[in-house]
Amino acid sequence: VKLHDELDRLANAAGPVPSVERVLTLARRRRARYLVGVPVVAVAMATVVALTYAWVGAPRGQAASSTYTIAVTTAGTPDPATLTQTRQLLLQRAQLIGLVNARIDVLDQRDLVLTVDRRPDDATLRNLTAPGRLTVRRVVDTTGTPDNPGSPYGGDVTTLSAADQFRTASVTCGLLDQRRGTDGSAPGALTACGSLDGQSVKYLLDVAAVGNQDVEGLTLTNDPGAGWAVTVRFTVAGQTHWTDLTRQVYGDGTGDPASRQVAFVVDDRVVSASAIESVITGDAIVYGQFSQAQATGILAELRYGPLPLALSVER
Amino acid sequence: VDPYEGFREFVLARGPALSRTAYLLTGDHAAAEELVQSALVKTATHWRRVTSAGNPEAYVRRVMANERIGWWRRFGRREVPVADVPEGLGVDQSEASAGRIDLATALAQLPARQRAVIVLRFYEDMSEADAAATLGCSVGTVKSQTSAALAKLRRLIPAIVNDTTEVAR
Repeated sequence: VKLHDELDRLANAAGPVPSVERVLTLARRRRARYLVGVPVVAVAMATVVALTYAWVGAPRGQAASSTYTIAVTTAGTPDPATLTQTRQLLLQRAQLIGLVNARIDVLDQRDLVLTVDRRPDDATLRNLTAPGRLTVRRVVDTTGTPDNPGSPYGGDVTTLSAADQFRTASVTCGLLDQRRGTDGSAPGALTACGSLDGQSVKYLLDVAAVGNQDVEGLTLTNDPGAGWAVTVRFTVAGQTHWTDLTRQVYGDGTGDPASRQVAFVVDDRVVSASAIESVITGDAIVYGQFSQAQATGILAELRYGPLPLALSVER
Repeated sequence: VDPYEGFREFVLARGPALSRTAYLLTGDHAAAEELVQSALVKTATHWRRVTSAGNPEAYVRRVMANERIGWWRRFGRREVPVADVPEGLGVDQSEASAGRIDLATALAQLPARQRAVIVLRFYEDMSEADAAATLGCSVGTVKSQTSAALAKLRRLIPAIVNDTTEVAR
């Protein structure tokens, strides 16, 4: 038996409609009262507010909380343990980013709810819910891309190969940044965008040489000369991968610096790309003209490991 | 100019549908009539503004849904004591009728907000977003209230809500 049909049948027992004339009489009376009542109440309230300000001063920041539904976009029904793990990771990220009184609840099998005191900006929500995959890759080629080409690529860019995404001028950084389901974890080459001095740059990137599993830990550093950075410490195997990558890219050091760049890619975005000036046997220090908030966001996304589920924030 | 221009026609056309919703929200004839009347009075008071916004019916439904929740908040979910258990509920033995009475009783056991969510989502066939706008709450709240309400209904009358999981998504 369908709930809708049963409700419909139950509604058949509804009583008569109230008399229109009676409704209109009451409305006229109410309207008359309203016209007199509103100004009086308004004046009274204004007085109370003014007096309160005079005594206590203006109220400090409003503590109204914001709620977001975070939907699982991975196909199929996730098992409860995976959902719990996702919630845990989101909480850790939220704490590191510094969201005030962040709470994450599992609503049902495919939805989580984020409640937070102060409304976070879009970049923060992205850092919170992005997959959190780190790959380090050799830069094969770079090209600038106009923000407003004549006609942006009409089809699904994810069906193009990485090389074609790079070659096709109408595949803009705007389109590449909106790709769904690309988190850099797929094998093979990748085309991704980053920004350099405020300009969008499109990068064609080689297969990943270093991944999440190579990372031992991450820390935030602030060098007075170079600004905010994320320092990556590698595992034993990861150190080999990283050092080998720098050796391979550096070569004999005589090539054009632009041709010996290494990119740090978070999900499907280049957060930093710079020329390798020597074989690096230690940590990687990732600079990218970051603000403190940007560097913290990257750190939060990467420090606790990638999310086991793909998520999207519903507004 | 008549500030209530078109209001009579509106009540004539949409009144019965509004009464049905009110009855589902309250489960009681007297309360339903009072609810419709007070919602219509509030609507008529601002009739010109409401019609210029485009959808007077949605406005009335919003007032009804929220007023209902307000009553519940104010008076709590008290049971009204009666001297005798009313007769007649068990008289009609036909299966459909028994199911309806079950549903009426089950609905009566839901908190007002959950009841409102059930009526809006499954009787009015509103989307989660529309129900949220009507109740003035978040989509997340609608989702959680719906799932809580369905769980309770399913517990009370397994036969009736068994096939609503697809509808709920």
